[in-house]
Amino acid sequence: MKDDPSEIPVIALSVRLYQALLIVYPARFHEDYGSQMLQLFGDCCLRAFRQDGINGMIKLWVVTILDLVRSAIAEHLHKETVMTKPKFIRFSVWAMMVGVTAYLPWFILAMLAGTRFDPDVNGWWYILNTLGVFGVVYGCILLPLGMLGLRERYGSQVGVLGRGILMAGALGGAGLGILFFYQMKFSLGDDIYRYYVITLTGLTLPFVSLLLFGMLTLRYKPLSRGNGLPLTAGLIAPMFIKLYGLLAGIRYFVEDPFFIFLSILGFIVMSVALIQFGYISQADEARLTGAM
Amino acid sequence: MNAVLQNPEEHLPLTPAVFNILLALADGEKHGYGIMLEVETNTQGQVVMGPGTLYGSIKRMLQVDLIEESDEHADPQMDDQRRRYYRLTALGRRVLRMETERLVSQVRIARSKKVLSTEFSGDMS
Repeated sequence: MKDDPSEIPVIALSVRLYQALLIVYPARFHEDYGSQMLQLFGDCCLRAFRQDGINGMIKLWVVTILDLVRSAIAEHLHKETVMTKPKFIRFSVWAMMVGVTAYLPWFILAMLAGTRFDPDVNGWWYILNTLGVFGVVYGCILLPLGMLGLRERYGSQVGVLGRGILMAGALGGAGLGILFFYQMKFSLGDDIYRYYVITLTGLTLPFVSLLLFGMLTLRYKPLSRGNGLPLTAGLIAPMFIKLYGLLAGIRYFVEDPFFIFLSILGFIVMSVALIQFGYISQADEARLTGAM
Repeated sequence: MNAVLQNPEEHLPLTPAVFNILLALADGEKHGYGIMLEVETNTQGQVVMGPGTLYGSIKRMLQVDLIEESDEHADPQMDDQRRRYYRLTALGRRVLRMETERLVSQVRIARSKKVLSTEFSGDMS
């Protein structure tokens, strides 16, 4: 078998055409295996042409087109799932850390705006509404996303129960976020108490699941260090958010300075714990995959 | 370094493509075209892998450490082009053995239920 495929026009044309079609594969796959696939296709062309001439080439093209479509879809799907799992973990945990950092100013301002020390409550509204977007995005998207990342990262170490808890927190947070938007659109003016309950329950659910997850991390110790951090973050937030929600539902504004101070302090502790927990998760993942 | 499943059982059951590639490499290293020809021969043409399926499978098998690249050299029986060769890893060989044992046990069950014709009723112990 010493023929040069490039000397047979129909084969040379087929190889050039196949080379052009390789663009349908993901860039990385194309880069890693494109030249080998082209070489292999050239070998197949030579064999098909020798065995059955032009008919053999037609049959080969039919098989090759089917293979191209099927494998290109598989490679694109694979690129989006298995290949990007470590990236997804890193991305989602970063999202959680950025989210909690962005949410903190809104929470502090919202608490201060409700106090009697505020000279002009209405003056806060523009800033609060702007920063409030971060709160909603954090509660509905970033925190649930972070929990899915934690589930991917620690799922095998905390068992079915741990995976279920994190998934429930993520789905609960996202689901109640959707309800929040529904409430905003259709009935905010009618019943502000319902608005508070939905919003705060939506924010609380992921933290409750973080609290339960924290109990499991204390038991199984899947983190390289700081196994008490999820529990710390999870414990403080439900306590204050829920309390604030209930009081706000009764009085609209909570004016007790001690409660305000305690809430802000609690939320800062929770945020720091969550950021530190996220940082350790990132470091653990980077150590496992050998990349940062 | 990719996260690798080191427990052979976690890889089972294998897809037909992966099983046939491992089987093709069981008696030594081969390049892509060599694997393709061997699979066609072993399966009497029932499993025909195009370049996309073959290299997609090879990529995933490399990621989970079932096979490894050996080196790149020309095949003296073909042309002067340099080709990349692949071979089984120790994990790949264990996975192949376990999958084969799994299939044999399935055949035993089929035989006990008298599913097989007399042509396939040889000793499998």
